[in-house]
Amino acid sequence: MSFQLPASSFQRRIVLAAAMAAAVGVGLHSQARSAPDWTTQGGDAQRSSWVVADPFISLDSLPKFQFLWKLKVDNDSRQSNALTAPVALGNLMTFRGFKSLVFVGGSSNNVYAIDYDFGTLFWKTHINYAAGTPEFAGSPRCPGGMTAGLTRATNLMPATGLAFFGFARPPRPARGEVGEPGRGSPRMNPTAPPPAARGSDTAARGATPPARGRGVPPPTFVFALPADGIVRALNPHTGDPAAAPAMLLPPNATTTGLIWADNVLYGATVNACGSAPEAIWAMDWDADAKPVTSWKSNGAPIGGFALGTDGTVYAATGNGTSSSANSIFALEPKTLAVKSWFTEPGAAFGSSPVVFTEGSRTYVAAAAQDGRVYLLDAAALGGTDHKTAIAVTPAMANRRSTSDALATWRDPQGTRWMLLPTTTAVSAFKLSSANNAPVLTQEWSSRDLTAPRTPVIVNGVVFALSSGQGRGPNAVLYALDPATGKDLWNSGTTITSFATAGLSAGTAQVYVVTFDNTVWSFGIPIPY
Amino acid sequence: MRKIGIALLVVSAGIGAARLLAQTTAPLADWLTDGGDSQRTAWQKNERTVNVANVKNFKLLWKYKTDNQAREMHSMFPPLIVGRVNTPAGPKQVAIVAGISDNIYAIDVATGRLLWQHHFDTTYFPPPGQTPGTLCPGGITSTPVIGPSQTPGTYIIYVASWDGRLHQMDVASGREIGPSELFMPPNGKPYALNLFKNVVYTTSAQGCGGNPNLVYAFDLATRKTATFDPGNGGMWGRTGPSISRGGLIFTGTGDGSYNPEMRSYGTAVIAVKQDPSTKILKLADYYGPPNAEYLLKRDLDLQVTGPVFEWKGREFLVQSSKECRLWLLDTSALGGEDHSTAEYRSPLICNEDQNYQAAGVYGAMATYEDTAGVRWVLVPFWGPKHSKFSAPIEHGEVFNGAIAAFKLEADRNGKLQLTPAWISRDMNHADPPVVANGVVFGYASGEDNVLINAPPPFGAQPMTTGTPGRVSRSNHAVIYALDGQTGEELWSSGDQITSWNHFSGISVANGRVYIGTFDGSVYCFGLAQ
Repeated sequence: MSFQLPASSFQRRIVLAAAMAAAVGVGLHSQARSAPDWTTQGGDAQRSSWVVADPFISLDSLPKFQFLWKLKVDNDSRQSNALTAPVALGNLMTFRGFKSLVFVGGSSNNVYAIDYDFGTLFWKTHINYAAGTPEFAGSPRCPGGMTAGLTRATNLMPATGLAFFGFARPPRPARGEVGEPGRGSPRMNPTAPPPAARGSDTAARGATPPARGRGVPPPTFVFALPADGIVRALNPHTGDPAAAPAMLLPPNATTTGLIWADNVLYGATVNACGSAPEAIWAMDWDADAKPVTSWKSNGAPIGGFALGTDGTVYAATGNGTSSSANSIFALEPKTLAVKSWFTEPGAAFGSSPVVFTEGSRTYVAAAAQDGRVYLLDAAALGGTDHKTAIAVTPAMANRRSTSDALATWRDPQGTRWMLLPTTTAVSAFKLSSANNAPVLTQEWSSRDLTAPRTPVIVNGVVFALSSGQGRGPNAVLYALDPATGKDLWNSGTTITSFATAGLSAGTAQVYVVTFDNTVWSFGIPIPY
Repeated sequence: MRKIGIALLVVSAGIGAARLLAQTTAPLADWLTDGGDSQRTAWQKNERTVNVANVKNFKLLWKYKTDNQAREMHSMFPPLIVGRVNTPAGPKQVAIVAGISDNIYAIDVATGRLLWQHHFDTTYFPPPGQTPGTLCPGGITSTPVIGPSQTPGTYIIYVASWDGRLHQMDVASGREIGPSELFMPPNGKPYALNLFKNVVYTTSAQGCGGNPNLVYAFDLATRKTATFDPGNGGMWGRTGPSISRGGLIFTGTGDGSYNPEMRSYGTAVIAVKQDPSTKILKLADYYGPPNAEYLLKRDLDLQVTGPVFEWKGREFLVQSSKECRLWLLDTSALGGEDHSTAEYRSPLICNEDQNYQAAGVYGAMATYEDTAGVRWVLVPFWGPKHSKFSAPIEHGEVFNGAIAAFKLEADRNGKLQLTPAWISRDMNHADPPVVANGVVFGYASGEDNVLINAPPPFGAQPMTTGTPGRVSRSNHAVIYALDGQTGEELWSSGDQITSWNHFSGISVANGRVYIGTFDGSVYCFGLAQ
C-alpha cells in the first residue's frame, strides 16, 4: 500500500506539517503550559527538588538542551556566599506586561528579579540593614548578609503536573456548524460555562491545589530575609515593599530553608551566628502583630527542615552532646511544639530531610553524615521508642554526605528514588519492598563530581551540579540518566566560576548561580 | 469694455456651472463598511476632493451631539457614509453612526443635522446582578455595514443589536425592513460587520455573555447562520474580518493554544470559507507564528484586522499583533508549507517591553497604492517605537504612538520585504488610519488604555482602575492629515475635538473626515464649500 500526498495544496501542507511535528516531537505547536514554580529551597515544601513535569525538558529533548543566557548582577560576595538559588514566578501580569520571572537573593542584602525568557534584569532592590545592632562583618562560618534563599508562597501540597499559563486554555478541535434557516447560530443557547474572566494577578493556574486555610489565595510576594533578620515582603512587580517589615529572628544569623506556607513563615538559624541560637522560627503571617515562635535545639546543630503536607515541620539535627542532637523532630505547624522524634546516636543529620508520600503512607528521609539514608514513618517518627527507622542504608565507605539535602522523585514506572549528594558524587537509592517491608537499595553512583549540590529532577531528567567550590575552578552542570546515572549532557567549560548555591529549575530551564555573582540558565530554547 | 466684462462673467459662470455639474453628476464616494471595503484596506479609492495640497484648509464643518449613552468605554462607532441616497427630500449624502446603547443615527452630511434615529427595543434583559465590564460592555459592539439594495439609490444597513439579532434598515428612512433575524447569542461581543456576496460576517471575542468566540456568517438568501470555532482564542480585530477577492475570511485569533495537530488554532491567523452549498464555514488555511508559545504566554494577541490586497498578480494579507511586528502572508498559502513561514516577517516596530497593554499594534492597518504604483502598508501602533527600528524619514520622538509606513518591495533575489519609509509624529495612541488621494488621515484616540497601573507604594492609595479610572484619565482625540509619501503633518484638528474614543475609528469620503467620540458626538472635518 503506497502513501500519496493529498491533491490540494492545503491538505498537502497539513500532512507535511503533521509529519514534521511527529518527526521533531516538539516545537510546531504551543504547549501553553508551565512547569510548577520553584518557590523555595528544594523547590517545594517537602524539599523534594523534583519538578514533576516540564513542557519542554525531557530525556527525548536533551539533544536540544544548551546554554541559554547568563546575567551578572552587581552584588558583592561575602565570604563564600554570593547569590541564592533562584525561585520562580512563571506567569505574572504586571503593569509592564506578562513576565516570567526568577528572583535571586544577593549576599549584600540585594534582591534581583530576572525576566527568564530573555535573561534580563526586571528590577533590583537593595534592603537597608535596619536592626539595632551593627551588621556583622562576616566570617567563613558566619558570612553575614543575606544567607537564606528567597521564598514565595508555597503550597503544602506538591504540584502534580503542568499548569496552563495566563490566558491559555486546553486545546479544543476547531469546528464549523450551520444553523437552521431563521434560527440563528447553532450555539444560540450555550451550555458551556462562561470563559474565565481575563486578567489574573496570580501565578500559573492549576499547578497546585488551592492553599489550605481561609480559601484566600496566597500572596504573590517575594519574601526576603536580609542580615537584620527582618522579613521583607516585596512586590514582585516592582521590588518595592508590599507589607510592613516584621522581625523573624535575631540579626546577623545564618539562615536556611526560608519558606512561606499556609500563612506561616519558617526559617532555621544554623551555626549559632550573631545572637541566634540553633533554632527553627515560625512567624504567624496572618496575625497583625506577626508573632514569632521558635523551637531551639539546645545547641544541637540544625541541618534543615521540611514540611509535610499537613504542615508538620520535620527538623534534622546533627552531631553534638545536646539531648536534641542526631535526631529528626516532628513539630506542630506554627507553634513548633514537639509531636514526636527519632534519635540515632552518631547519625549526625547534617542536611534537610525530605518528605514524600507513597500510597497511604508518608515518609521522612534524611541523610546521616556517614552516608546512611534513614527512612522514617512520618506519622510516628522513630516509633514508640523513638529509635525505630523503617529502613536504613549502610554507611558509605569512602564518601560522606554534605550539608546539601537529599532529592526524591518517582519515576514513570512508579518507583521512588532518593538521590544523595555526597562529597564526590551523587548516589541514587531505590525504594522497594521486601517481605512487605520497605527497603532502600543503592542503584548507581554518578561520575566524580566536585562538591556536588543537591541534584534536581526535571520531568525525569536528573541534573547534578559539580559546584567546584573549594576545589575546582568552575562549576559544571550534568544531565544524568535517571536509571543509570550515566552522563547524558554537560555544560563543559561554559560556567566560569564556582557555584555558591544549589540548583533550581523553571519551565524549560535549569539555573546555576556562581561566586562571581552570575546567574546561568541552561535549557531548551523557545522561539521569542 | 463692458461687453468684454459681461462676456468674461458669462464664461466664468459657465466654467463654474460646468464644475458644479461635474461635481453633482460624478459618482460620490461611499464608506459603507468599517475599514472602507471588505478587504479592510481603509483606502478611499474614489476620493476626488481632498488632496495633499488642499488638506491644510480642512476645518470643522459640523459637530452633532447624539443622545447615545456610553457603556463602559465604548460609545460611537466609525461613521459610515453613503454618497448619494434617494430620500423623500431628494438625494442626500448620509452618515450612519451606531451608538453602543442600541442606537443608530442618520445625519445629513451637507448640514450636520439629524435625518432620523432609531433605538432597538432589546429582547435581551441582563439577569439580576450581572454587571458589564470594560471588555464586555454590552450593547452594540460592532460597526454596522451598508449594502445597496436592488433599487438604485437605496441602501440597507445591517446592524447586530445587543440581543444578537440582525436588523436590516433603510438608510433613507431608518425603517426596519422586515422583522429582525436571529443571528448571534445575546450580550456577546461581535466586531465590525463585513458584507460579502450577500453574506454578513463578523467575529467575536472576550467570551462576553458566556458565549463562545466564533466567526459568524449570516447568509441573507437562506437566512442560515454558520459559525466557525477556531478551537481557541478570541477574534478581536477592530474592524472585524477581512475578506479576499475569492471569499476567504481572514481573522487573527487572540490568546489561545496553537495546536494544529489537535485542530486548535489560537494565536494564529486563520482563513475560513463558506461552503456555497451547505453554507457551513470551513477552515481553508492558517498561519501560526513560530513564537506562538511566547505570544500566548505574554498575552501578545493577534488581534489586528489585516488588510488584503493585490500586488503584481498575487494577493497578500498583512497581519500584526500586540507583539508589534508585521507578517506578510500570501493568501494562496498562508505561512507556506509548514504554516509558520511568512513571506516576510518584520523586526519589532514597537513594544520593546513586550507589554500586553498600551503598546503594540491595536485595531487595524491600512494599505493603498500610490499614483506611481507603489504599494504602501500603514501601521498604527501604541507606545514608543522600538529602539532598533528606524525609517528614513521620522518626525520626532515617539512616546505615545505613531503610524509607521512601509513600502512593499522585492529585493534583487525577488524576496519580498516591507521597507520602512516613514514614521509619523507622536500621537496619543495612534488608531487605525484611513487614506484618501495620497493623504493619510491618522488619529490619536486620546484614551487612557492602561489596564493595570504601577502598584502604589506600600500603604498608599492605588489609582482608580477599570473603566472609571481610564475614563477619568482620558483626554481628547486629534485627527492628523499626513503626506502619504513622507508622513509630514499637513493638518490636524488640534483641540477642536473635546472628547476621546475607544476602539472606534475614522472614515473618509468626498473631502470629509468623520469621527465619533465618547461623549456621543460626531465630528465632520473637511474643506469649506
